[in-house]
Amino acid sequence: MPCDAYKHALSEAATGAPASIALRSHLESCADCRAALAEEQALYSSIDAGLGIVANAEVPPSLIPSVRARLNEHPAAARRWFGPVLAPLAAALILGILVVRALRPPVKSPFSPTMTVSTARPPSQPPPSFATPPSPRAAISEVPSASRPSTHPLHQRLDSLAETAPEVLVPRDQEILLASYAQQWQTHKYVRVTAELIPAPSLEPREVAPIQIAPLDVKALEEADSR
Amino acid sequence: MQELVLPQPGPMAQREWEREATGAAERQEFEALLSEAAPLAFRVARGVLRNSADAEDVAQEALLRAYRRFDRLRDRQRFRGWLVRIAFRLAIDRVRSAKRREHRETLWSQSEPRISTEDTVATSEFQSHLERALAEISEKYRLVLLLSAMEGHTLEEIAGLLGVPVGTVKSRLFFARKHLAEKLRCHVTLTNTR
Repeated sequence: MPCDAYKHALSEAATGAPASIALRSHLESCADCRAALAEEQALYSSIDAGLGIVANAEVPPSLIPSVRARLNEHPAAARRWFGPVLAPLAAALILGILVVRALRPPVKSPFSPTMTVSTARPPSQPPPSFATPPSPRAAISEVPSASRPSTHPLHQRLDSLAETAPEVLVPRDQEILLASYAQQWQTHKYVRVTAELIPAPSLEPREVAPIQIAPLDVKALEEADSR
Repeated sequence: MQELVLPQPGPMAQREWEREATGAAERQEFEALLSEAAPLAFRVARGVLRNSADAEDVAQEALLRAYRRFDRLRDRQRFRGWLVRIAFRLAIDRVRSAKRREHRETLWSQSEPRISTEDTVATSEFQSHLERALAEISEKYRLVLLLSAMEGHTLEEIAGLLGVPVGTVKSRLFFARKHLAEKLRCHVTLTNTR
């Protein structure tokens, strides 16, 4: 049995690593460790010899002729059309996809600023002003509290949405409808759209005054003038 | 006197000729590398598969695959390393598919790979233990061990073949040999005591 203190060093030395001075001096005096080192070195030699047999097996003489024969069956030129044909096709396909995506009109978000929820205007509110559109959160919060009683359920929804919903630019008169729309969207993921139509304007035929044409007075020319 | 007009080749024909000329040059270059690289591919495959017939199949497949992709290899100095990796990967795949096949075929189980008569004669008891132990260690260690034992490759050459630093090769080799030694120690003792 080798000495415990030198077990690791012996193992290292057996792999071919240089032995330390301490180990060398110990080996001179310890027969067990010398025997253990010799055994370990024999093991590594056997491994190396065995690996040499595994790794340097005789190559069959038929290998290279077989490869040559198979190379003749699969000429390299046969595969070369793939590159020049497929590469431009792939590039054209990618380009086409990019162009189509660029030309496609953008999908309007349900909270798009241009969306019109209703064209009806509440009679109590002033007409919407687009000249200076207020910030949506500001628009929601800037509505005077006097005109928006906090007890109204839609106004309460509006207040809650002002905290959570994305900013949307809408005229002031459409805030409530938009809030309702957003609430339905959030809760049900679908929307019941209630459209309020503008009453069709009544078209009455206009009365046009009859055309007044004065009678023409045609006089015969004198003989000298006609000549 | 009649004027002789030679038809000029069109651009398509010109391209075809150029392609053929390039193909012929590549074929020539590959043929020059083939005789040197084929034994390497075979031995790598043999080290994994432990069977000469399977190793020959894998070496042929690796060389064909290398030839088909030869035009993509810009640095021809790396051909040997490239081929080693192809052959090793194909051999590993074959071992795995054979294992799967064995697993499926439950009529008779063959735990060892097919070994021909010449292989059986050539391998001693320790050798068979060694090959079994070699098959159990991880792929990266196995390849380094095989290459180090093959054709007297130096550490630098192995590093060049595998595209890893010399220090990595050294440490992999150290751990791989140690691993093998631990697995085979009991067999050496048994053999010696008999």
